[in-house]
Amino acid sequence: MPKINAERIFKPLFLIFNGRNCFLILAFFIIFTNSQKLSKDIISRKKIREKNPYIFHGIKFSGLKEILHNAEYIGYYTDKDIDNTLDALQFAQAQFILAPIILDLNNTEHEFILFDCSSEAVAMKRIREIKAIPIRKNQFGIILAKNPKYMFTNQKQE
Amino acid sequence: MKHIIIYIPFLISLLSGMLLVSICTRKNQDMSFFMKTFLAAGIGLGLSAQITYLSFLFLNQLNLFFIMLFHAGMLFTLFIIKLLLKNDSLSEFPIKNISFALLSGTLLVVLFLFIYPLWQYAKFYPHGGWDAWQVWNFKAKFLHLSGDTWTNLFKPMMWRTSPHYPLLLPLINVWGWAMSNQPVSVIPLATSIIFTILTAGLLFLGLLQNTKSYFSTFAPLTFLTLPFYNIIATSQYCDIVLSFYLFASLLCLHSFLLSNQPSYTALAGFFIGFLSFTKPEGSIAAGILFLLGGSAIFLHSKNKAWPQKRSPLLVFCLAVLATAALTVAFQLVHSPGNQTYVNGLFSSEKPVTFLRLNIIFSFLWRELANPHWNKIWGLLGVGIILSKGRCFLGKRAIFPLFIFIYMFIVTAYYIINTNFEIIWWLNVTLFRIYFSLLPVFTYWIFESLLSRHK
Repeated sequence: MPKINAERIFKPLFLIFNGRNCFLILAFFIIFTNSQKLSKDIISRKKIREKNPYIFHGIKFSGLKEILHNAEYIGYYTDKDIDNTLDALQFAQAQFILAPIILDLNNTEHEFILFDCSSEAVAMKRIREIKAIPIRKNQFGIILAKNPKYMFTNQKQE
Repeated sequence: MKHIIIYIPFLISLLSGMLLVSICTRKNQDMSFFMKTFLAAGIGLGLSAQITYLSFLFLNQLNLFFIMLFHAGMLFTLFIIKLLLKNDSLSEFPIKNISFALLSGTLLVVLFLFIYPLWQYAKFYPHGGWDAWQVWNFKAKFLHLSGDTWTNLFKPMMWRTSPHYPLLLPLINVWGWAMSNQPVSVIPLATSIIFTILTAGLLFLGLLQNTKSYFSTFAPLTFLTLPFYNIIATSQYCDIVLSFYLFASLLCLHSFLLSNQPSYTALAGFFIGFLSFTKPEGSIAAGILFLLGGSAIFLHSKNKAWPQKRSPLLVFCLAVLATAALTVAFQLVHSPGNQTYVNGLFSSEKPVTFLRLNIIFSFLWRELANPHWNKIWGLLGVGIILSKGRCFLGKRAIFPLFIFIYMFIVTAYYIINTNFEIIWWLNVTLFRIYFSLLPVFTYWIFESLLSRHK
């Protein structure tokens, strides 16, 4: 009976499947599975964008800069919970669109105050309370009002 | 044509970087043309951001004329220095081995094909993720438009935008808008793609240089094919910028230890300085790298004669000083300090609890196993085992040492700062810490397994 030399059989296998090569095989497997996921993900994203084109929601605060041209600060009044992610997001979008004007949250002492409330009625109630004068309203219910204290002045605020 | 013109600032940055890198590495024959170009792009963008910051620091506003003039002066000076040093030059962005250059160039083209998926991810949210426009893009827009009222950015009421964060990314974008003259959204988008490609390309080129293995291509592909990585990289956050400068710093330090070329210490120093201006985590990483890199350079050169012993360390310290000086200026002059910090060790209202510790330590492991990483951390973990301890020995010890110290400090910060509800905080930040460490980790493991160096 011929003698089987186990070392002669297994040595080349150990040489091929050393730590380095095993790692590269695993890495190749990860790259392969990742690539499949990547291509599927890109296709689904393209489909999503074909159906729903991207809209930056901060756009609802655009078009106010021509009125607010010299303002450094304006008030931003909201009855929403700003610790809530979605409401914080809305505030951040307003701040981003209106930069470099700084939005002072719930401070109604500034010359201009932006009202972004849960309903138009809530905003109008607050506007009446502080005797502000609404000067611009858009289709998203965002109201820009002027503080009556500044009605006859053009002073720059701090 | 207009579309190309708006990218001219980035090309000026690349040119400045190439001149500086070619001067620093004039005696370094090992570094390939591609590697120099990728390093140069990172250095050039960092320099341009710092020059833009000088305009705010000295003229108290964005002054494009000053910035352009400074760039022109810097380019002229670097060009003259390069001409004067020409006789000393042994390599001029060398392409010595044509077949090596062609093959590595082809593999780079493969990596560049990933611009398409990156572009697809980037344009899905052209304004970036919501943290991007709440913090980074808002700051860039504010700096661009605010004139001499730019310091309002640091007012306490701006705490939601983290006013204590350094400004490297916003300043790169402000510089990028120099030609469009208005804050167009395509520049932050392009910045995120540029830094992703720079990170992936530098990982490939660094591995190729230090291992001479074409399997180096696998390393960047492991994460460039990962949808989650692409989403974070193109969300216009600062994490990709931090990730690039962190990896470039460690790569240059490791390359110095392998090749003994002092030019790497200068480059490492520049990158560490830029890293310190990215984010608070970047400043911490830069501090660790400065101490760790300085010690490694000192120990590596201690048996050599005087000039070889002192000059790499001196060059390293001077380079860090040159680029980190503006971070120090920012911290001293403008940063209002962290307003979202409560020391839980001394606070009776929000004390550190055992539950908090438990949550943090379990999250550290759970995030690694999160399906959005598609087992990439598992692969790297297996790599540590398969390297049979090689990854902890010799010159590569700098990687595990850095990762351990950095994660120790990050974990301690999570424990001590009790200002935020811990589960929410870990959910929104821990994956970014791992994201920025991924190229460093990938290089470390691949280099341990592919390299012939023990």
